Amino acid sequence: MNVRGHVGELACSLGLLLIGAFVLLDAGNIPQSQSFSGVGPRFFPYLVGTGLAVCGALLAWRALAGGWRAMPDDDGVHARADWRAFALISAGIVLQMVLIGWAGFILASVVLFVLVARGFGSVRLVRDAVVAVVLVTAAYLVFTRLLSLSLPAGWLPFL
Amino acid sequence: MEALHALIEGFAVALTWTNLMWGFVGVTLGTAVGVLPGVGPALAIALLLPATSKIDPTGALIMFAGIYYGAMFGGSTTSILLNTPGESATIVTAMEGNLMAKAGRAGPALATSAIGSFVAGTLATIALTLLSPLVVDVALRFGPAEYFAVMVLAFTTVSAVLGASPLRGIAALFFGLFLGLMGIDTQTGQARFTLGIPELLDGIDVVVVAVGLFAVGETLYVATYLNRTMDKLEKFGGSVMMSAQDWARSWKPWLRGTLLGFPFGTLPAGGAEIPTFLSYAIERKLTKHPEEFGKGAIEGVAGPEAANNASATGTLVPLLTLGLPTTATAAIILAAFQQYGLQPGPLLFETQPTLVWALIASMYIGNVILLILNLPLVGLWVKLLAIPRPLLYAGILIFATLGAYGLRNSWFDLLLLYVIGLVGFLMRRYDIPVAPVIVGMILGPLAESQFRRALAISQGDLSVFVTQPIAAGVLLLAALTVIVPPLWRRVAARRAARAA
Amino acid sequence: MQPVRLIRAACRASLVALTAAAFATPALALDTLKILVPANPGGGWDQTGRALQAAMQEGKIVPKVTVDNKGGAGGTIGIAQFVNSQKGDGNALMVGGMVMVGAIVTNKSPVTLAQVTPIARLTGEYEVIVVPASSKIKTMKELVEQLKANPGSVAWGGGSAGGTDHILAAMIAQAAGADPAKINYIAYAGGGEALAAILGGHVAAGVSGYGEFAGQIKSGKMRALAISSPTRVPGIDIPTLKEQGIDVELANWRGVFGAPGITDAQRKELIDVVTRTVKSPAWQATLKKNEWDDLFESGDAFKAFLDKDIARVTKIIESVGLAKK
Repeated sequence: MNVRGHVGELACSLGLLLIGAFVLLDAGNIPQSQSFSGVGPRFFPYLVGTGLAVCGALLAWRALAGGWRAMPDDDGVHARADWRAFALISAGIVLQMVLIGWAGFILASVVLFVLVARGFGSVRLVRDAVVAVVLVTAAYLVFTRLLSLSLPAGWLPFL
Repeated sequence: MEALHALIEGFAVALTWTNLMWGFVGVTLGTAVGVLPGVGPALAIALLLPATSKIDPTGALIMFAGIYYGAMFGGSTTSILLNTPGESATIVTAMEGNLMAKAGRAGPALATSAIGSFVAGTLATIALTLLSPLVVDVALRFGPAEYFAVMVLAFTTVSAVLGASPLRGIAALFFGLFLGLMGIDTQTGQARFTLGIPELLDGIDVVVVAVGLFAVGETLYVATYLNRTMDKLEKFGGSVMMSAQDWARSWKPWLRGTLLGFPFGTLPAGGAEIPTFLSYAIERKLTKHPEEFGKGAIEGVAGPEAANNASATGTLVPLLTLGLPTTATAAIILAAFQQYGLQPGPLLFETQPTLVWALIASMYIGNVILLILNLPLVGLWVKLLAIPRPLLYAGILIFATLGAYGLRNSWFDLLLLYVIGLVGFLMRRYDIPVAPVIVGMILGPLAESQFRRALAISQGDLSVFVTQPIAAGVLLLAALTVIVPPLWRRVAARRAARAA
Repeated sequence: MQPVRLIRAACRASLVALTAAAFATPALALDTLKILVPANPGGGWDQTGRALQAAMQEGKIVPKVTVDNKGGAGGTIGIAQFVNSQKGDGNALMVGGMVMVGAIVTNKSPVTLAQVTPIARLTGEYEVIVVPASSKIKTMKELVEQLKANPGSVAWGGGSAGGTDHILAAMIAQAAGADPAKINYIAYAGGGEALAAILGGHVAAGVSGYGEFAGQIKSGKMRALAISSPTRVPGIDIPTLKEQGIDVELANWRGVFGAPGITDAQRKELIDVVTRTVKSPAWQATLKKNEWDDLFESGDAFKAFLDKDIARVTKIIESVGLAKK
């Protein structure tokens, strides 16, 4: 195990601890209303917040004391991260989120499809785009025409 | 025997060539719509219902049964092939099923799912035919205290999903419980942890979480860490049929899944989520191949799929005998009945015996048609996985985002999907199991509201959990599941030491 | 978007002129209509929206009608979108109802029904108060007496907290002289789950829409104590709350609203279209099939009703302690 791995483990543990702290603090803001159960809407949040914080603290301690236990030893652990692929796919989803209500479902999804394929190392941009257009248009037509569920048409209102 | 006679008459009404044709049409439509992202059985039936209105009642009921089973199977198909469960009942199927698909065993996974659904659906329909009145009386005895006890039992039993490190598993469970807390508190109507965002008032949909963790997180992980080192040729494809060993390993989980699913389905607050998880946990404990769990064990598909189908049939018990719709799907079915002038409820069997028994006969027939139609299709589905990896994963993300967006046409759900996908990516990277997150999310809110309901009814008296015989019995059972296994191991170890 | 809308309006104008000139038949008031359903597909509002769509197209009242779903938080997410993006659009309708009135108050929604244009109330359902057949309680009077003596001992089972069922239970407590904040209300996810709790005798009394309980009442598994209608409903043999000395009436109504800021002419047009739709045989058949009560009331009458309903629902929700002032 290298040190970098433990840094990641520590960060995850602290993240959990942080969520636990947030739950414990924010639970105090939930309005209590009178109830015959004696157990109001804050009780379970306090329980869950405590659990999260304790787990986070224990995991952080283990990360500092030589790393988490029983970690797997497969290909993924030793591979170098391909952050370009990660960024491409992330960009695809974020772009779809931004574009879907504005440019419409079809265009946004084609962008997502092409970017993900690219992230997986595809260099055949034209093939990807053609597959994307066919797949996405078919899905759009099935949803809007056959099932009359609405999806945003965006810049292609004629469809 | 009266029931049997009535059933035979039901078959006589239902079995005509025209009706069988409507059955095939229904299964085909149901499967086709059921595989669409974000369209679970409830929505599929709601959308296809108008198509049945122009046919005579018996034909419509058969077509309807076909749509129902087809839509359920369609949901399982996408769970196994693409890791994008369309509804909460098939989340468990996605867990081992997709791993099987990745190991080149999509064919057997789909086959065990189809045959298991058939077996469970048929057995559950038999139980429905014979036991309905009896089962309903027991189910009604379940009040909040009893449900809470069942939730506790579920929590203690599903510890098997916690994975290699119990601490990380419990951390994941608490994370799931936290996600389950978000939204409006059912008992007081107060918003909790919504950060002032109106979209969070209804809470986070468990399907968005499952698809985010499974499909989006996995896609990010594979692209970032595995894609460059993976074989160019996937093991996707592989055999289509179940081998003799697959059969030997499947039939017991089918039966156990049915035994779990049916009674849970009949409970007014039962549902399919808990029995599918329980079935998964039990199969994982009973299997002779524990090393395969987490890599694609057929028992982990066979059991939950049977439980899912048996539970769906079980929900028809309170629906037919009491007019009680206990799931979204059952509510739609109720609407369908009303379309045919049937008013489910205590009087249904007396006022409309012909149609009711024709419906029950239709369910047997629908099950058979599902099997006949879908087994040959398995080969076709498996070929879908042979397409190049970039296109496959791009398609998976289109499916995942469409499913999340389609829930309520909100870009916010896409944001949620991505954020949860990032969490899934980290969890995969640091070997934190994702199943406990789903378990916590499903069981947490149920356990909390039942606990508080029980205490409100008893006006704060905690003894309700031990003075009611069913609740006390189930809690005792839960305690035993925690205490007995370690004791058992100790006894076994001592015996082994003495023998040595 | 402005130019597009202008072109569309121009087309519409010329089309209307053309039809009027060429055929001298009554001009189509609206050529397209968008109905927003602030709930997910499948529920009551969705059924209402889609039934309107079908009736309008079948009766050739509006040739092209589309239905959009925008669910969540009791309709408050849908109404926010409707107000923000449909301002001044005379071709838009939104489905809504009593549930929305309550949800807006409990969720402290920044957008309220005061911002949209009331068009018509369409359908509704009255609520019933029931007890299990085995219950000692035989009349509303006995229930109210027990409520006054020991409010905690009357566990009311019904739908979501702050919903119609909860509001009615609180109104009954208030009218009977008990403290509405002290009712022991047990919220269930849906009518089905509440129904099971009542049948199993886990709660003392139940509140829900009549349709939800009708089968059980007819078969004698539940005893109906009262119905929330102003006068007896023909065909339903249940005494009203009013005739039993509790001055409460409540209808879980559904209606349609127009966009904010539309002109009087546009409003009139929408009212006219909806009125003609409601009179169409297709709509009447839908009412019958779904057993919806026809509570049609349009324009100013609906507006007056709505204002009154909002005021009293807001007051009762605040007195139950669901929303802090």
